[in-house]
Amino acid sequence: MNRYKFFIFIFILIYHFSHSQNLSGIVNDSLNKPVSNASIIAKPKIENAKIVFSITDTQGKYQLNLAENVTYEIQFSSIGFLTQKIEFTALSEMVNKNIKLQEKIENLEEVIITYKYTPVVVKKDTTTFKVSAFTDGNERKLKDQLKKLPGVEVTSNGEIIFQGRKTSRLLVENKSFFGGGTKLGVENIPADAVEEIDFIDNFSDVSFMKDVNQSEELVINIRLKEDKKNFVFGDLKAGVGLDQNYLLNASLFYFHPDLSISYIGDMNNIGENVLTTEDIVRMGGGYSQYLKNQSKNQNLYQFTQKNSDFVENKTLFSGVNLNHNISKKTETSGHAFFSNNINRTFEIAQMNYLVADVKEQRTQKSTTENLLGIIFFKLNFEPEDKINYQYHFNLDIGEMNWESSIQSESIASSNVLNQNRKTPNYKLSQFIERHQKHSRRKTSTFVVNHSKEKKTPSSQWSSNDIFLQGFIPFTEDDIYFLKQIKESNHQSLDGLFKFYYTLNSKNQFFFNVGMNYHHDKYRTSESQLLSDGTSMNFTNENFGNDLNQYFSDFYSGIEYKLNLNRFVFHPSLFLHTYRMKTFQNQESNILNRIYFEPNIRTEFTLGSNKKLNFQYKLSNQFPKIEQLANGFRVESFNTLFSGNSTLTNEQYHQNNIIFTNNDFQNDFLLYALASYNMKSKSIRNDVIIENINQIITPFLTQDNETNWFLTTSCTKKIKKIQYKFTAMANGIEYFQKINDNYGLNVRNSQNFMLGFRSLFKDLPNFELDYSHGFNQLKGFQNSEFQMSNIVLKADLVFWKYFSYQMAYDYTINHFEGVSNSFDLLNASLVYQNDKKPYLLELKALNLVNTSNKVNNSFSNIMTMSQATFILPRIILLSFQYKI
Amino acid sequence: MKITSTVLFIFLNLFGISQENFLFEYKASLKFDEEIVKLNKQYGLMENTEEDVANSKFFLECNQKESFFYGKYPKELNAVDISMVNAVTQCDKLVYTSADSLIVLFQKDKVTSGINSYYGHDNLVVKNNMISNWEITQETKIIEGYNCYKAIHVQSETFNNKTITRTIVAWFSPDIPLPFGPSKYSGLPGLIFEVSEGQVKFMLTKIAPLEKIELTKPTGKILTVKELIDLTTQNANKTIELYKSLKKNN
Repeated sequence: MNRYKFFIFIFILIYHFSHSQNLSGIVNDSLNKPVSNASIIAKPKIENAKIVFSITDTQGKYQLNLAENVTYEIQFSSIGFLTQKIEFTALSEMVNKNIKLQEKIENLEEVIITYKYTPVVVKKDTTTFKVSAFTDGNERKLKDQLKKLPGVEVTSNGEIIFQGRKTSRLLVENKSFFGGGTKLGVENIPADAVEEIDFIDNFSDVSFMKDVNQSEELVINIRLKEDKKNFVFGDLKAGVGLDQNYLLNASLFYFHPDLSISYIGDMNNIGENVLTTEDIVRMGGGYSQYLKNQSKNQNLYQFTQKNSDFVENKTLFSGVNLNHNISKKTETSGHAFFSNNINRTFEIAQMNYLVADVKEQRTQKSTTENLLGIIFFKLNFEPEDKINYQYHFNLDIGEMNWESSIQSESIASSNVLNQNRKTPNYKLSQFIERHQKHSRRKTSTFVVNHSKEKKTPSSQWSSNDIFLQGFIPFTEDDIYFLKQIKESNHQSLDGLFKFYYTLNSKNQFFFNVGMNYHHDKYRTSESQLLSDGTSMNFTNENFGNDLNQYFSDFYSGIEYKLNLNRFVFHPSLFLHTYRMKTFQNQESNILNRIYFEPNIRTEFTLGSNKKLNFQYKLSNQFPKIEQLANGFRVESFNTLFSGNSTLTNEQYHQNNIIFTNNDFQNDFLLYALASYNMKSKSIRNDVIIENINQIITPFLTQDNETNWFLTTSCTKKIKKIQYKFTAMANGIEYFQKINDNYGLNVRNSQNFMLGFRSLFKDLPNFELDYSHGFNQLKGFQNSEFQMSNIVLKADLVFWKYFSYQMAYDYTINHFEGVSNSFDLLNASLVYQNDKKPYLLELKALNLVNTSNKVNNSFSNIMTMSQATFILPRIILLSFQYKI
Repeated sequence: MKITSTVLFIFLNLFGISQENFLFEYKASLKFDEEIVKLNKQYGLMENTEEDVANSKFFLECNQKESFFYGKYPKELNAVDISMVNAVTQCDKLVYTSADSLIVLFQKDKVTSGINSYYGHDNLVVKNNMISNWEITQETKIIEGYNCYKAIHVQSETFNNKTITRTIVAWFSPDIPLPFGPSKYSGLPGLIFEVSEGQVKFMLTKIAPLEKIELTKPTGKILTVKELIDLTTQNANKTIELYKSLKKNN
């Protein structure tokens, strides 16, 4: 009925006729042909009179009813003609005035109108940025645009931080993009394709689940410009440099509502990695978000090189992503890629072992080759409205080869070692989810997750002299040759049934029943290969491990959620029945634990922009199989590790308070977080150290450990300058045992950053950040160090088509009365004509040719000053073609 | 001078054809009263309408003589959401405006609406007159370099013996001398950049030349507004009955 009324309202229009015209005439073109639909506006030269207008008819006729004795400026205009202005004083009698318009050639050019007053729309959990309101068009990739949005940061690893929180996935047009890898997205999506950017909190793949399930997942969604859809777009880039540097990159995209294909290919040796470790973990995916509370097994990647400083780096990446709507009910997406990364590192370190007061000088050269292939497939099926099935399948196969040569000099020993490790691995994981909204009140979720992984690292050490002397029962030889074989298998099966009951719009109850089951196998063995061809197995000398572990957790829980207008209260209580059964040395060890694990979340909305969140959580974490393995194993040329079969679970109490104030209207953003955590049971290390050699064994302490963390970040824009201030402080108290001394240690650190950035549309822009950090350790040893860093960035456009960008980074360390500094300078000069599809870039990396970076670190065992060598100066000329 | 411009004119007619057609893109915003939102939330209606409207795009294709206006809503909407968006933006209609004959024709999209056959006609076109009595004020503002004037049109509607007055506020620019605008709003001596009526507001977001207009003038059974009201009133009782029978079956 309402619609029908509305329909009538809209259609009722009343028509009026104007009367008594006193100026009329005909508008003609230069050939005396009448110009129809030309606009005539008569603007009175005095204030209190009305503006009068007319539009010519098909014969070019116009009529105006002007006020008597008033002088008007009358403007005649029509598309394709020059506007003509005349002055006219109206009389009571009719005057005839014919107008001749002159043609003009000038074409109407494309104009985009941005309404500055709505560049950011905040709606419930979604914040949408209209990108064009923040950018100046000089941006080339998504990364450059994101950096200009208020409250958004992009780290050098390609992570996107919004309001202090890291986004977990990147979507394009609401569809999965390479499993959500943010680095791939920010560095490859062309800036000119992006229309809007959404940050969506509590994201859910199934739209009807959003009403009941708060995933706490923050995702970023890229919306493309309309004219980029249904066309292939992207960039092709090729570059060559002095010293045989090269770069080849292709990023091609095709987006259609039913089919989207993205291809990213990259090959370079200038240190630009396509993937980060986190991207790989995320792309490996295959874990249901409904099971997020359980500990994920990510051991597969623990060998992935985290250090980004290389003396040589070669990267090859080729990947394709596909989304396809098979029918209205079925959607599929998937990606597959292959990556090969080779890098060489070179480090010189000076270590000071505090207990024995021994100094070690170490040089280490390493080569890592990382081969990885991933296949991912996802199916989304909705057989009928409000029923949804999700199936994810993921297979990773990889191999990492690591080779390292170490030269270590100390009073006690002098070694030249070669070490190599080969780690083949694979991981297969899959899950199925079924969601159904049974009625307005009842919703259910059922999840089954299965995963299987295996890795078998085999390592070899060869040394000119005995190493880990007194710890390893070496037989005397010319060359000491140690071989280690490890094998770890992991298999898990998780299931969860969750039922959501919505009593009314304010009260919701959720019921959970679930289980986690893991089976782990872990085997290690060490042996010495002698030069006569025989080998000595150390298995009988307390070396070697062979374990089997079965772990199960049956749990059930109830959650309640109160949704008031400005207040959300969400407590939950879970009962977990943990059982861990470990077989080791023909003995079995059973650990049964029953725990209640409460969780309380509250959210206050204060005013339109302010939010205050509080969370308390109790959780238990069980030891990993590696930590339980009693036998010795070699970790490095000066470290042995032995597990502890008596370990039980760690217990955490976590408290968080988060305050956010997003006042986009006044360009003021504030984020503050305070967290306080207590561990009532924790696993800590017992270290026995002799000269430079050490044995580490974990043990469980019942003494309370605490840590706290405070951080705040605030940005404010005044006119065209954006100011930023961040401050962070944290403290950790923990126990440690060194050579049988048991004691408490306190580690504190503080850091603050001040910066500003100009946001001019057509002037050079500058960015300056200064940060300073302090670190202190109090315990067996007292030490402290400070670090400051200045970053200066400039961005300017000249001669219309040229743009110049540079970034200068200066770091200085103060440690034990010694100051060390290094600086880095990168610059790029680009020629880009908007109308031409190509772009030329001259890029210089490490222009000042800094050879190394110096870092300091300390622990209760030692202090370390390390020089890491980096890629020398690279000058690269590249050509980019836009499709 | 005359020869030059004649030559130019011929030149323009030969090569300058692309100049004749234009594409203007609009966006719309909707701001409901809090009360209305609260009321409708109980039925799960209108919850997303504001957002859906904001995500819809509107296109005005025109030359000097006629214009075609249509909307596109975001893909992922369900039937209820679509009907809400349609109700406020008329997104499901092709609005044809002829400057020569001063008429506006509304045609419902055959695909998205079943209403045509429901009224017993395959193709229903509603004819209306262009708004002619705009009042142009002295108030101006500049939008992206275009000088825009504010124009007001007060419209009274009588329905069930009650007269409702609505005010339409439009900002148009004589710099683009085309008498068109979004939806039913037209008849000003310049393109309409912004127009608002009640809670709905249209805003121009893009100006672009257009090679060719592929759309054609709506054809079908043409009704005047009065005829439409008669027809809908006749059908109103049928609608109620249909609604009742549907309810019973549920």
